[in-house]
Amino acid sequence: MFRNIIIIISFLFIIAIILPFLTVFLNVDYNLLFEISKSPEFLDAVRTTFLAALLATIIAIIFGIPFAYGIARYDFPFKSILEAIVDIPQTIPHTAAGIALLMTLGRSSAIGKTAGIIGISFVHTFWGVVAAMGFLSFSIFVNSVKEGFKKIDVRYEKVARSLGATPFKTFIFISLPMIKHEIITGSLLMWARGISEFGAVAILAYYPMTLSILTYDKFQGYGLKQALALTALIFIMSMIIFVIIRIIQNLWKYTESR
Amino acid sequence: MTIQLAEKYYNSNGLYEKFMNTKNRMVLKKSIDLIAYLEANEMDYAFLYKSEAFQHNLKYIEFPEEINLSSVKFEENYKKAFVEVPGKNGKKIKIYGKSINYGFTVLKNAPNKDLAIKFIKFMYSEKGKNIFKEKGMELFADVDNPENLPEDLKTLWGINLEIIIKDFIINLQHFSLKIDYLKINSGEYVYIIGPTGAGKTLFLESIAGFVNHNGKILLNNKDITRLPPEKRNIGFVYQNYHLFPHLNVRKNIEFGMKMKNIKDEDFFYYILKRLNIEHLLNRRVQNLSGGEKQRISLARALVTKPDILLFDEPLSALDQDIKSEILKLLHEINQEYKLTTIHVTHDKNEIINNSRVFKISNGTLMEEQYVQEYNYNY
Repeated sequence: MFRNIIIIISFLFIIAIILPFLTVFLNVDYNLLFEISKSPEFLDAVRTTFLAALLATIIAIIFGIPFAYGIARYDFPFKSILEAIVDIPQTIPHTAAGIALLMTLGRSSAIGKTAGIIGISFVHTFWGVVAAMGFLSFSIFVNSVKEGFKKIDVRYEKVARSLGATPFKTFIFISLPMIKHEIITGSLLMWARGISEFGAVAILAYYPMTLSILTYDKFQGYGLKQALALTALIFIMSMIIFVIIRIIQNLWKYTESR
Repeated sequence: MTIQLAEKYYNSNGLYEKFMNTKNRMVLKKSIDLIAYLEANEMDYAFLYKSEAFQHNLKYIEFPEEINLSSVKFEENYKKAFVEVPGKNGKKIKIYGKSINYGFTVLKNAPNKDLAIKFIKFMYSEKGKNIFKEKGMELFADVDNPENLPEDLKTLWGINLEIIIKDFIINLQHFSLKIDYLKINSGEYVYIIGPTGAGKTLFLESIAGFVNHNGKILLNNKDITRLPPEKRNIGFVYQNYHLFPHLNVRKNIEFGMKMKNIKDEDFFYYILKRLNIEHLLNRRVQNLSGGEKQRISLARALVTKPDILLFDEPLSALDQDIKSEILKLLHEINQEYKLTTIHVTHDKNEIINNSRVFKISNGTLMEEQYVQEYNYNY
C-alpha cells in the first residue's frame, strides 16, 4: 500500500516535469527549428551565453576557492554574517539584482568610470553579461566548495604539515585534490545556472543577447511560434549537456570503486 | 656467491663511502640499518645497507664463532652505553652509543646483539683498521662525553633527541591544561593516558605545532615553540590513519619525502620491508584493512626520518586481534631507531611494563607508577 502511494506520487511528479518538455516538442514547427538553428543571431547567442557563463565560472573558481577555504577553516568575528552575505544574490529577485548591478557598474558609477578608462563597459556588453551571471550564481559554486572543505577532516592537513608540507603546499597537494569533485560539480552547476540567467542580464546587458534574452525577445517581437522553436532548441542543448555531465559523474563513480 | 655479490655492490655503488663521514671519521650514518658482510678467515668483506640486501635478496652471513667479545657495557641510560674493545698496546678503546648508534640499537635487541658486537670488534681489529686506512679514514672513537660530539653527529637521526616541555598552559572554554615541566628522554617510549576530553590530543598537537599555547617546547635544547609544524620534523600518527584518499599507498608514503626533499630510496624500501607493506605499494588506500592502514600511516611518518614520533590513540581504531601486533611493532621501531616516542591512549591495556606513564587529570600531568594488571599479551 505504502509502496504504491510512493510510486503514484513519484509518477505524478515526473509527469509534472516532463509534460512541459513534451508539449514543446509536440507543438514545435520543426522546419522553423532547423532554420533558427542555422541563423547567425542564434549562434551568436549560444556563443555569448556559453562563453560568458564559462568566464563567470572561471572568475568564481579563482576567487571563490580561497574564500570558501577561509570560511571553512578560520574562525573570525561575524563569520556567519559573511556566509549569509554570500547567499544574498540568491535570495533577491534577479531583476532587483540587475538594477543594483546597473547602479554599481553603470557608466556614471565609480567602477563604471574607472573601467571606462581602460575601455571596459558593463552596460550592454559581453562583460555586463559576465558580471550579471557571476553575481547571481557564484554562491552556488562557493557553497559547494565550502561544504567540501568543511567535510574534510582538518587532521589530513595537519598530517601533511607534520610531513613537511607548508600551508600552501598542503592546500595545493592535499586540500584541493580532496575536494575535486565538489569543485567540478560546483563549477558545472554554476555554469548551468549562469546560462539560464535572465533577470539581471536583461537589465544590465540586454545586448549582446544570451539564449534566455533571445527567447524573450522572439516571444515579444515575433510571437509564440518563433519562441517555441527556440525553446525546443535550448531544451535539446540542455539535455545534451546534462547527459554529458551524468556520463562524467558515472565515470568517476566507476574509477572510484575500483 | 653472496660475498661476491656484496662485494660488487660495495665496489660499484660506493656504498662504503655512504656511511663514511666527510670529516674522515667513521660513523654509521643516521637511519641506516647496517649489516656487515664479513667472512673472517680472509679479507673478504663488504658492507651493505640492509634495504639493499633485502632488495637483492641477499642473506647476510654470520660471523664465525671465534671472534669473542671482550666487554660490552651499557648502563640504564642509553647515553652512557659503550663498548670496550682492546686496542693497541693493551689499551682499551671505548665506543659510545652515540657514535655507533645503530650498533647499540642492535645491542639492546637480543637477536642481533652478537652481530653488532662482532661488527664493532671487526671495525677495531687490525684488518678493519687497515680497510679504513686504505680509504684514508680514521675510526671515530674514544669520546668520553657524548655531549662533545660534533654537531653533525648530534643531529643525526635518533641521537640525543630529548624533548622538554616547560610552563605549558592551554586554556580553552571547557578545560585547561597546565604542565610545569616534563622531560622525555632520548629514545624513550612514554605513555600519556587520561579520559576522553582531558586534552591528550590537544597536548600532542601542541608538541607537533598545530595548536597555540603559552609555554616552551624544547627539542634537544632547541626551542621549537614558534616553529611551524613543517619545520619541526615530528612524525604524527592519528587513530584514524588519515591516509590521503586521493593518493595510492606509494604516493602516500612518498608524500613526506617529497615535501622534505629526502631522496633515500634505500631507506624507503627498507621501511616498507620492515613494516611488511611492500606488497601494498600500488593499492588504493580505501580498501585496506585497519592494520595495513596503520602500518602505512606509520611508514609515511618514518620515511621522513622524524626526530620524534607522536601517536594519538594509534590502536583504538584497530581490531582486537591486531592491536598487540601493532603495539609490538611500535615498540620495536622505538627500540631499533631509538626514536623518542609519545603514545597517547585512554586504554591502559596498551601500556607496556617498563615505560613511563603520565596521566592527565585535574588539568595537569602526573607521572603514574603504573602496575601492570594485564595487557595485550605482549
